[in-house]
Amino acid sequence: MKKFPLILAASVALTGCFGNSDSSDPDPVVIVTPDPEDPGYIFAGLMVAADYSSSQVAIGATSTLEYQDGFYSESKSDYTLDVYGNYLYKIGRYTIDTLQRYNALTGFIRQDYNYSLAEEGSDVSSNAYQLLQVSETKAYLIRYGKASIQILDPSAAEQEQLVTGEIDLSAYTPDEAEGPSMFKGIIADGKLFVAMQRVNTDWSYNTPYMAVIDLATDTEIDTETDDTYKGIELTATNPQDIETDGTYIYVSGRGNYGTDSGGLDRIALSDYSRTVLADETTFSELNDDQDDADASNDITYHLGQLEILGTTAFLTISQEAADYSYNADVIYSFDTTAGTIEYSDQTPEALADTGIALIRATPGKEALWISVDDSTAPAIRIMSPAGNLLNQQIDFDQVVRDLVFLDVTE
Amino acid sequence: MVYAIPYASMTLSCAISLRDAVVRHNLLTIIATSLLIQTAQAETDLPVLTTYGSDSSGISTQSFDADEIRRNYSSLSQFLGSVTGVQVQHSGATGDPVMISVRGASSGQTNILVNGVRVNDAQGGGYDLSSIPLSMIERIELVSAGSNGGDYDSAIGGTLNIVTRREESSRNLRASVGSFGYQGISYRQNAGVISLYAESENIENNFSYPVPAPWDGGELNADESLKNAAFFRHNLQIATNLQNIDSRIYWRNQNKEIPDYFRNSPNNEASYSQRESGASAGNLRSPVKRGLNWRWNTTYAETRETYRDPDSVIGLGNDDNRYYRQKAEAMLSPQWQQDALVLSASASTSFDDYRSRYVNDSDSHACLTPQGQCDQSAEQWLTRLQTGADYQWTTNLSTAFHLYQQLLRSSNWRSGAEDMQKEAQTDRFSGGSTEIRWQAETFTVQLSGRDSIRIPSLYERYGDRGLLLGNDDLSAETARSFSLDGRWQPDTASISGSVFTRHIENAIVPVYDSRGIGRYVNTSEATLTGIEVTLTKDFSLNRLRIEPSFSASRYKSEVRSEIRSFNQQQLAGIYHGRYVTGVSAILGGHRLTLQHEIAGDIYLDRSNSIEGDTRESLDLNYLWQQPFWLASLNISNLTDNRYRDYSNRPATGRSVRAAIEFEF
Repeated sequence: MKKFPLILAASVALTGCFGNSDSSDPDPVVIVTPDPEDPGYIFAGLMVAADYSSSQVAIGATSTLEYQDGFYSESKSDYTLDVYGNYLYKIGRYTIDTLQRYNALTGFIRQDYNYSLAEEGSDVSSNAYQLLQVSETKAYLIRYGKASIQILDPSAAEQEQLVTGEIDLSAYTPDEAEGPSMFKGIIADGKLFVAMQRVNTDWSYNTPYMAVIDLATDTEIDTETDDTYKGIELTATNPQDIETDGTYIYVSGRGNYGTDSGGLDRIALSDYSRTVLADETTFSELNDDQDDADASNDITYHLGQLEILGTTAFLTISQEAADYSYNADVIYSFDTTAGTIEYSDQTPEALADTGIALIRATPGKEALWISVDDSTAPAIRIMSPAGNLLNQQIDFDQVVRDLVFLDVTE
Repeated sequence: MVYAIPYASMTLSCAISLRDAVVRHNLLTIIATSLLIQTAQAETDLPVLTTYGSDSSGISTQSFDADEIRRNYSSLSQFLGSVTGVQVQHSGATGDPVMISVRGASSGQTNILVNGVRVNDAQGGGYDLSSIPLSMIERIELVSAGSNGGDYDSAIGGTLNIVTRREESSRNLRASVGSFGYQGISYRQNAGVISLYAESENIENNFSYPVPAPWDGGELNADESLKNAAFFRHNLQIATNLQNIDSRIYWRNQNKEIPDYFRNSPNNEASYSQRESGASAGNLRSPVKRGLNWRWNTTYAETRETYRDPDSVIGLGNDDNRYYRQKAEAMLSPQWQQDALVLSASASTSFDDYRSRYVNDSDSHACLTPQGQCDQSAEQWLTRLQTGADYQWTTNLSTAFHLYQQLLRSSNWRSGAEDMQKEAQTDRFSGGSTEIRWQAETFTVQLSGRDSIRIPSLYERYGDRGLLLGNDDLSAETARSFSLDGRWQPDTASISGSVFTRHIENAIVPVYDSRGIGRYVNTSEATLTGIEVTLTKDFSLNRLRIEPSFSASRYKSEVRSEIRSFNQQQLAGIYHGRYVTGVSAILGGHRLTLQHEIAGDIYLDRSNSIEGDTRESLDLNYLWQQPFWLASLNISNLTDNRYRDYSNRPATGRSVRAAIEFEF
């Protein structure tokens, strides 16, 4: 196993921005070195200021839980991160429309490129949410603001060589909207599965769908499960997350900002059949009408993020009052192999009545990382696959709102 | 103020390294930053300095004559940017909102008065100084410390009072042209007891800047002329002075196109228009006599604003948003003056009304979609009582002491929602100020302190009735300040300095969670200390008069907050170091002025992860004055220095403005 030393420049924390500076690159100095006996993974966390006025990336090692922040500081916060091999991608979303790439082999300091994702001649922001890379020369860009998935060549040496194709999903676009609001995708069984929120211009939701793309031909597969569309109809309104255990695709949706709790759908890879695993009644014990006539303080649950570790799936559920004044998140789990799905509350005592910004499974499914949504004490807590909160915590200055892992071992 | 533009375009940038703030003293210019001597009479024995102001009333009150300012600066913001302790927060091009910060305070913590009436918008908290042209102004008063009474004391940072023109002694016509398509014309005259003022200006604002992602697919960050950024404004005022009662009615119409800084799209037609009209009457400028004086003032203003984005370039939809504001205020102030004692009191009531309507959003009237827009109405009643005493103990020693109490009632409701969901609040605030001053022939020193507040704006208190929530528990920001100010005027020089400290509590900041839902909360306290120095000198070489000057301000601040990333950080949006040097050369009717400013040590965000650019500018002004006309040439940013302003937008770059003025 190749042990990769994580090398970061000491000046990262001072200047706060790299990649497009005209000044010469700083000399790299070893700051964080993974445990040579157990190198683990490199993690990159997008830290966002509480007032959304700035963001930066922290990069560290899972083996030591040490990190260096101050990477790629920006006066904006609407970004996501993605990884492929040694590459770290930072994607600028609404009206930012950029794709920046950094390389672990150069200590994440030198920027490979900073390409625009804005479409020539278009006034509509691409609003890219995710980059799914399948090879050195091919990736799929999931764009919330457009009606098509772009096929990119991530090895492009020039801007003009970046986009190599498109997959049209305009059939799913609601009237007067710019696109079907594709939110997230996942690759499984040689196919790309893309969940679409299908939001109207007034922010109301239409029936969500999942499109299935054949990666060999880059064309949409007719799943023959719906009379109107080629894709699969979902019951999980406002899809927020999508995961796979190799046999099924799981899609969770939060519903709306009112009394629609969303849901959880499971799609079989074999025949695209759908099973509803959760709806607005499944976790009714989490609702609370406060036993009064005041509807504004009624609490409704909303499903959130999903991660699968082995045969255990973890699901975040947000409890929100009608006037949004109360929000606490819980974590439920279920056995993905069970014939009848039963949920159990896995919320650690230490995280009771706390907001959860995200959950992420490590690449080898060894642990679940939980980002605490508390600007006064932002941190990442680590949970085992058995649902035990480990006595490990990483403190940050800002809430980590996106998190990726790079596996750079050979 | 445009509150409903979502995701306002900001260019993509990474913070660049802060350059060393090294002052280059190649040229010196007199600037109008010196603190003026307090004197009961207009005439003084001092040499005639080319200061831009009449004699003022206090060491911490600076008063500037607008006619002198207008001949040396092309705009109010350009002049204010030269004043020690004042920072201009100008977010973009001519016509974009202009706010000021006094002694390191935020723009919301600075009171803006027009003819003694506070004009800070109740909904947003600020006031756009670009809406008042220089030619409409008679005098500008800036108060940064001391105990002056009235609205001068309650502001955390300071108070700027803009006094508009009243009587005209002659007819005046001024025409100007300048860079980026600037054209301006103003006219004023007396017609019997009525004085008339009219003004119009427009500019294309098509300056070059690096476009992060050009719409036509061109090279990233290549320079292009800014599109859709034009601005025009028309002003009309009629004023009278009868029996020492000033009355005026005014009307203003302006329109600013909103550029797409990120892509510079040619399809962009977004714009923001304002129409304001109002009237006021009062006797605040009448002479104060011995004995009992009754001073009063009443004012009314109505503003209609429209934001349009027909092609959905800036926002998420085809926006046609309407905003309506009303403001009314009445004030009565008895003042008793007898020999060394002045007793004063005042009672004022102001009413602010705000309404919004999102015409193209079918859900906005019923507020059905929390992520969308919500038509809302808001009202605020503010009653203020103030009392104070000023006493001249000896020829040299005087003291002042003022107390105020404010009672606030505000409410907000969803205009068309089924349940309306009206929210209301009442609050009470009190504070005061005191000063002690010792004054000799050439030397004055003053020690002052004040308790001041910033009332949360209606927007901070009630949110947007969507995903930016209201906060019933939001408290006013409070501050306690102390200032030691001194001035020494030996011969033809003036040396003034100030040392001050301010401690702010309950600082209001927006905080969001992972769902994107946020609210304004009281979460921080901050301490700011500062030192400001101004030096001016006047000397002659035969017929040539030279007036060099230098001013410096240096601040140190620290925030303490329960928000971890804000804790132990520097206050954001404020240049903590600023140095201005200048020199004027006067020969007969010719005056040449050069001024250099360098400002740095600024963070753009509360977490201090984004350092702002050092701002450096060299400005030139040439004036040729004759008995009945004058011509002027103003070049700002002579070296075309490129930097990003405090809002992280590209500064305009070099601009030239020429003007000619006739008096007849």
